[in-house]
Amino acid sequence: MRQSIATLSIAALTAATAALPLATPALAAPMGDSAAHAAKCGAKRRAKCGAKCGAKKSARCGAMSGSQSKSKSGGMCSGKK
Amino acid sequence: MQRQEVSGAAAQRGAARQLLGCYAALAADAAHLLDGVVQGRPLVQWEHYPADDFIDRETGYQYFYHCHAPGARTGGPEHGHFHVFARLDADRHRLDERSEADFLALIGAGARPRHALAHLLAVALTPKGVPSALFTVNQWVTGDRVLSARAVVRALAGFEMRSAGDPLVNRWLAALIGLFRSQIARLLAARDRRLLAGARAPRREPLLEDRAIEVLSSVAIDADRQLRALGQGRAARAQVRLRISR
Repeated sequence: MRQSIATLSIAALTAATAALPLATPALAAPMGDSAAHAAKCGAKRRAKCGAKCGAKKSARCGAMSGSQSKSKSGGMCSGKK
Repeated sequence: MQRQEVSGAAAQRGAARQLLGCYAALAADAAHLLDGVVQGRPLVQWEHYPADDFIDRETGYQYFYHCHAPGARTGGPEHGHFHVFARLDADRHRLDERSEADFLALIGAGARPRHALAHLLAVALTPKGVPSALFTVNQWVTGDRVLSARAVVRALAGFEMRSAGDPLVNRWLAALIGLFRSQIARLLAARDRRLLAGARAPRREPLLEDRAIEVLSSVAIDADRQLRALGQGRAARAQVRLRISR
């Protein structure tokens, strides 16, 4: 089949594509959205920093999961280092 | 200048063909764009897909997909989004440090740690895997280095994943960035304007750390509309045709 760019459409090509289900909440996050987010990311950061940088960094990351300085270590959508 | 515009348009048409080619290949296999990213894992809010991100240490690019909780989505038909990063330790991302320092000073963020990652772009997808929006995020969201729009545009222009990633999504992302390069440039310019305005206005905390501001700029995109515009623009020229093998 040959078609020009002008006649092909992504809507047509994805017409039969199954829609992905919505993501479900993480099981360990029974609180509100933003709180769940902070807690989840905080835990990840703490674990990662604890393993990577020892106690000093771990304490730093613990502080960062609070409201003040999380941006210094990484946020909720940070890429893996 | 005119030659630049012509070659830019040609690159955009090439990106359009690449993008369509990706969806044609998916349609032929009855596959979803995210199959190779989600890899059969259940979709859980905030999880990274893949779990450790796709990281190409050779080219210095990185991306992952994730979904926010329903109340925290960017709006519209978004299912989730890709976050695309540059790894600044890669040779190709050598920065003009003086210019970047000037930029940081202008937005009131002079003395920031030099993170090895820089967020370039976020791409929202519909549940069917069609791009619906592009957006930039505040610094606290990704916690990495803020680069000027100029540096981000430059980094995105070379986007390439070779040694990591899902091959189809790698091509798809590169094509999408090429197809929407004008919108991306405007999106990033709008982000910088907002950062500059934020630096001038009196604030209780720096804009980059203001938890009330997650998205700095966004633009809804319609890939089909963009493709139609390109198709019409080139109608008088040679008819480039796309072969789809089924």
